[in-house]
Amino acid sequence: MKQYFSLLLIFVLMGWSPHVFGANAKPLGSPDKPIRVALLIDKMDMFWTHFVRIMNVAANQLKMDVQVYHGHESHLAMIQKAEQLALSPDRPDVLMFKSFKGNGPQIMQMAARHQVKTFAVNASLELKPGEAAAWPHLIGELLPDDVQAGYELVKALRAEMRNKNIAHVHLIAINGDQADSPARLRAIGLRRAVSEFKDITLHQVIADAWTAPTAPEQFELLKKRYPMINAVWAGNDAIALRVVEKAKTMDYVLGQNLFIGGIDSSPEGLAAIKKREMVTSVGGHILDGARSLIVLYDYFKLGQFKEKLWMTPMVPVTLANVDAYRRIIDPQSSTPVDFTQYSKWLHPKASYDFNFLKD
Amino acid sequence: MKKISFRMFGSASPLSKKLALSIIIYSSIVAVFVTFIQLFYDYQRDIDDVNLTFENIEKSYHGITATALWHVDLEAVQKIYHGLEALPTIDHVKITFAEGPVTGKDPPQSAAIAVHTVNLYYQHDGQARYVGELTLGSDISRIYRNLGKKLLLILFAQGTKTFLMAIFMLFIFERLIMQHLRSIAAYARQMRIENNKVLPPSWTISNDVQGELKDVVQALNEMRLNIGRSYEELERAEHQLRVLNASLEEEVQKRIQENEKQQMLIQHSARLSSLGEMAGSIAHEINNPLTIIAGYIRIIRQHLKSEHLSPEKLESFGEKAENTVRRITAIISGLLRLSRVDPANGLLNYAINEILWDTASICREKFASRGIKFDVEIPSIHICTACRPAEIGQIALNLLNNAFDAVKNMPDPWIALTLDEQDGKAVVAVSDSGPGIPEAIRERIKEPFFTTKPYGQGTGLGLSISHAIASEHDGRLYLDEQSPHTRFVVELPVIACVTPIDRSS
Repeated sequence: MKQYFSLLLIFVLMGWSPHVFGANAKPLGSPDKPIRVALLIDKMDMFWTHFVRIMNVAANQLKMDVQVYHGHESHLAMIQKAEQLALSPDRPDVLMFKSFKGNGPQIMQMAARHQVKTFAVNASLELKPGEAAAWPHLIGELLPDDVQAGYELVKALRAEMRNKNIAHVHLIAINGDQADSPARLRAIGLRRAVSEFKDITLHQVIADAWTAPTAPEQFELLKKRYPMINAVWAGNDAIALRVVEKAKTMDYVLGQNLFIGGIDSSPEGLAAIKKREMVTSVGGHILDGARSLIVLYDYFKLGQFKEKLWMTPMVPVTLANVDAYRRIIDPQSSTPVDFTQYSKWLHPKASYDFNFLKD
Repeated sequence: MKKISFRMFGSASPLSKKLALSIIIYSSIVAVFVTFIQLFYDYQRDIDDVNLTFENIEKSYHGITATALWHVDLEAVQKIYHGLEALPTIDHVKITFAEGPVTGKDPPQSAAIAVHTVNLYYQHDGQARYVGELTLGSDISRIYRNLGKKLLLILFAQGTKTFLMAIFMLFIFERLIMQHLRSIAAYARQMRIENNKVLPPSWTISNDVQGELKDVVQALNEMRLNIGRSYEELERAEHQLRVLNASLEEEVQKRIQENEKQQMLIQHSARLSSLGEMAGSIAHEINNPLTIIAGYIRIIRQHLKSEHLSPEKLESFGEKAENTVRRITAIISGLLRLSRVDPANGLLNYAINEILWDTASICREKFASRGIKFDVEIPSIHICTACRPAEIGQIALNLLNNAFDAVKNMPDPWIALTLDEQDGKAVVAVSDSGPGIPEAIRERIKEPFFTTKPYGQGTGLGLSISHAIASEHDGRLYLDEQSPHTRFVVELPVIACVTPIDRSS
């Protein structure tokens, strides 16, 4: 089982095949100066904190320079910051960004105007087929498979409840910011799973911000509206954890008559799984920062790839595999993953066979 | 030409001040009235605005609020709450989930708070699902405050306008009217009458007097001429009136004297009438003694021829004849006393007893001839009064005559004459056994010429004259309605007798 999970995790964490690299062997970066990457995200919440932490581990190993900026949940502030970075004399080599509320094209336009390369992570640019070619400064997109995440979360909840001999799943969903494409994609996966399983009744889908400021009150109110609910689908771990805290103050026994699951596989989410307060947390994309740096490292050494889109498979972390996963992303780990071994530039024969558990 | 200087406000005429004050009061009343109408209209409009705001909010916010409640979008609920709270006419907002949670507070329970509640429904799966309610409150006292400010502003503006308008009107009034009115008044005041003619002042009124004031001046001059003419006519009429008045006074005096004479004649006539009614009995009263005297004389003659004549018998017959003559003399004396005319002025101190004795003497024979019992109760002690004796006797005679007429055809007739003194008054009463005076005519018996006697038997003046005589003697004549019989009473004031006489002998 452990071996199987290790292989699966490698697949999830890499999510691409080796042929995506090495299409263009012309090196782009300066051999003396470190590659400077600016990460521009919407906010610095629990997920992004771990995202950046693991990313910094990879940056140190790859001798890359990473600066992180966020827009305080304002897509306009992000655009403004992108312009500042592009205009700066000390501007970065790559502007890695999350497209928030559809601001991706404007950020790319801003960066292209000042000859700054761009790389999108976490949220889709929602480009039409072939449209990526129109953005020559766009190196590519590295995205979690959010539809799959939403789907897998329903499946994991249902599986756990069936184990507890609960015949019917009365589900409510509290998603993240609907203006954000991951929330919409995760909801698609949610509805696909609900339509697939007849023993699930989805009573209502509502939305909160990703930071879950009102999730407890929302849950309490939905509980009054639908007293029969026994499962909560949360758009991310932050939402799930706040629902957990609220449910603990109510007449629920978590894991017995209420089953809560989230997305992100954040350390806090994994801790809740360990405490049996959450059933699952679907994730893998928390390593996308480190993964993106390997891609960018190889890009600057080997040149432009043929493909511009890489998808991160999303897998549910449950009580069964939570310990293995925690070891990989544990911030206190004394033996962090050596991300350099997955670089085609440093290891031309590397098969990109990422197996963190082996480290 | 005399110039009337224009005087400004401080020395403005009372009429000008009254005009200015009237303008201020009237304008103020109108301003206040119009202001309150406007404020009422504004109040209605503001209330309508509040209701319209409620309706607009209901239309605009129903959908998004219901959606936010359905999707439990607490952030959106907060935004809606703050958005509504920021509206100028909305003071209280409460958004309530159907499941209980509330954002905001209930509006205070006050008449000054207009509250509007909207039930929120969300269309889900083709069904309208109740998701909560939106409660809005608007503080009406804000409208009152605004109206108060507006009221002060309007009143200030209207007051200022009214004051300025009053000053302007005062100026115009003084300039166009009052100075000319003063000229006209001075002109009228200086008109005077000399030699029965009204003379105008030596100056004329300014030629710039136009319009109605010019008419007033012309009317004043016409009035001056008319007054002159009227004055002359008045003089003539006064002279004629004085002449007429003098002749009229003379005529009135003449008539009064004639009337007094007539009154005296009427009274005397009435007395003689009463005595006339007694004339038959008087004649009989005198005739009987005369027959007695004739009998004595015949006896004396017979005795003179008789040999049995004695001086004692002659003396006896003579004495009886002499007594009978004395009796006749007394009757005639009484008759003379009753029929004489009393002096017009001055009263005599006279014993009522004497008067009543005389009257009773006259009537006695008449009553006896008809079988009427005549009771006379007159005290021997004189009771005196200040009177005209013949007039008092006339009263007694009238009452006895009336009593006679009343009882003469009655069975067992009687008449009583009494004199008494009670409480300083001489009380003369004539009672009879007659049928009495019907109540219906009691009020009329004192009227002149009223009589119940057959035509030709009474003048109708007896009681009215008797009543007048009693009043003239400070006494009174009345019908004693307490008496079981017909009883007339005469009360006269008693005075001390000058020569008391005792007739008991």
